[in-house]
Amino acid sequence: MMVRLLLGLLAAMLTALSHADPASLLPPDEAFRAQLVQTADGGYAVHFNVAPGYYLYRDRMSFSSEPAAALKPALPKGEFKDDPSFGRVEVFKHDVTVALQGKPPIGTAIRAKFQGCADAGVCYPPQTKLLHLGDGQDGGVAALFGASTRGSGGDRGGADLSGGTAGDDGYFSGSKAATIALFFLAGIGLALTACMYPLLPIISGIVLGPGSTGRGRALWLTAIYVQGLALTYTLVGVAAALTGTLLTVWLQQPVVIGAFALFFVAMAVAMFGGYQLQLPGSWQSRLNDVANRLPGGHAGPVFVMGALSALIVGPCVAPPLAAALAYLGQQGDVALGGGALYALALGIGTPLLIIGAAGSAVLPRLSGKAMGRMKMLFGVVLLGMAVWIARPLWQGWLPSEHAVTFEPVASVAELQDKVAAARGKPVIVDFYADWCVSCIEFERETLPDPRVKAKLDGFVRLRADVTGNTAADAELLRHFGLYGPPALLFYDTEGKLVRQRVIGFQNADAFLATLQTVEGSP
Amino acid sequence: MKSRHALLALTLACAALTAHAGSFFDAELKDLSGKPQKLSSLKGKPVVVNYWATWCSPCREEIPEFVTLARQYAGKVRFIGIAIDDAPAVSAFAKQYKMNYPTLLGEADAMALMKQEGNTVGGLPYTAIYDSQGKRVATHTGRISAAQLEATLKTLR
Repeated sequence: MMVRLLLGLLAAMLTALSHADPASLLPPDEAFRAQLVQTADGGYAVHFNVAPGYYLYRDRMSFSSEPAAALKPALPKGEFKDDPSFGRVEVFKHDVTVALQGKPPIGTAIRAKFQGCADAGVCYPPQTKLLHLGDGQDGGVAALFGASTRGSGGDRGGADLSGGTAGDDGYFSGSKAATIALFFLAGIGLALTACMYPLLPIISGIVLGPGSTGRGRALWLTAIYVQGLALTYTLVGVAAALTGTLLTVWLQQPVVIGAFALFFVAMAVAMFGGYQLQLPGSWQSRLNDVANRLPGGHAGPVFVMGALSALIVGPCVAPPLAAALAYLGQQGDVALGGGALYALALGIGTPLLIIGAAGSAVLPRLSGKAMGRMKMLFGVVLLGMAVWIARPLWQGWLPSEHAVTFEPVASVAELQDKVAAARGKPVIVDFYADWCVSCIEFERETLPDPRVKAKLDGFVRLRADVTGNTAADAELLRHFGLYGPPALLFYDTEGKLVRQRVIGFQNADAFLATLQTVEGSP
Repeated sequence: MKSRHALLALTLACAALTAHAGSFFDAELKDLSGKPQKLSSLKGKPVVVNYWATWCSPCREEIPEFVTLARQYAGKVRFIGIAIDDAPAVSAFAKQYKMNYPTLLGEADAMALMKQEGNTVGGLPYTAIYDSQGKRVATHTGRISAAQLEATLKTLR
């Protein structure tokens, strides 16, 4: 923080000293942001972010890789510009992505050279950037203004004031904000699934039920309810980020899945009229008593209800939540973890807030008969949910031809022995569990593909079955920094772990492409 | 991250110091034949310093106007070009455009000098004008018109 403050001061001083040109030109790093990205097929591409009012010369782009690899840039067509000095030149006035055709070995860095100008009639010296996968921007020093192709030695003394730092911060905060926004949207998406049905009676009971007066109060109570919901999710998110534990594995345990499925069956039975879904009368009156004595009215209990409701929605939020938690666990960023899950909960709560704001008016008034049919439909959907959630439990029973056989490994030591014994052959390690949905999908859909079969013939195939989640299983997962299956790891022919791994499901085409790049890497 | 910021701060501090201590006329740059030239030799008369490069279209556009003005103000105002470029390209260009004022060359050093002299962003062309006492009186980023330049030059007389 201090450093940043100091930077700001220095920047201001320098600007004042040098009578900076009033024209608000961007520093080259902001006018043209270069980023190395991985394409779907495992190749490389360099993405240039061209600020509006700036352009890059197409014929002044060049790329080389470090260490050298055969990569051929595929420059897209540009726009033609009539240049008073150079004539008709092809330029890129907008963002452009240059695919680098070929198979880059893992860890290859790309040196991109490019040159461009501002429409305002100012040109920037040729820029050279060493790009790595996953870098938002080039390193701070290289991003300094002096990073011209020619600027090899000497005093770079000059300082890119706002450029390097501000751009940097912008990038990082931008990506964090994007993650959180994404989680919010995912929350809204989740809210529109059948998962929310169990919440509706609770919402209407608490918020629109007796004792609530006026729309504003209903909205206030819904907001509190959603905050309660959000609190639970935030805690889960923080826990995931902090511990990076096998939380997701736990969520996929057969017992947990079974309980979730049973819960949905129970909800469905309620919809079919098997029993009344309501709090016991004594509870309700006690709740009312407490609420009346508390200054905040129903706020407290409603908040608690919200927090508990998160557990109710939990079941069908579990699969996406598991994926989200795995991601957050890997990030290890507590603020991001909490923030993202908070945003997710707010997203889930948004439709509820709308109901709260609009009051009962928004709920369609149905005749008793129609209401009964609606409930039936809900019940059927809920039963369907139960079956779907329990998928990992019954899917294993379906007949499946074991297209590709794997040799089981049970511990880190055993795995290392087998990898050592495989010298000369690449190794694939499949982290599998009976309850892992995408593992089973992978086994049923991807592995039987004849092309995949043929390709995998050349691999030593190991499988770590972590269904039991034993201490050895946990150790295996931890050893590779995994949070649970599904995961495919690869060792190259020299017995070195390849950095590329497959987390999640891949269809045959995608998996073949992955195998291709794994084979191609040294 | 931390060390990067620290490094950046250090660089900035250095730049700030040189901006205080050094002036344009204390610098030294190579000429087209590779010989180092002291900029202090330019002192004593108003100076127009134009930073440019052959790969820079707007720079190429404005140089004929500098040539005209340099002839017009011969003996009253000194003109000097500083090219962020390589010698063969600049020599060829100077011949082709019949440049009647000297051009010095530089890479990182010239960029640093330009930055020190007020071009924080680093775009070209960049023109800085000094009075006969060596005080910088005006700067301009981007293509400068002959009229703009003359207006400034007139105030110096």
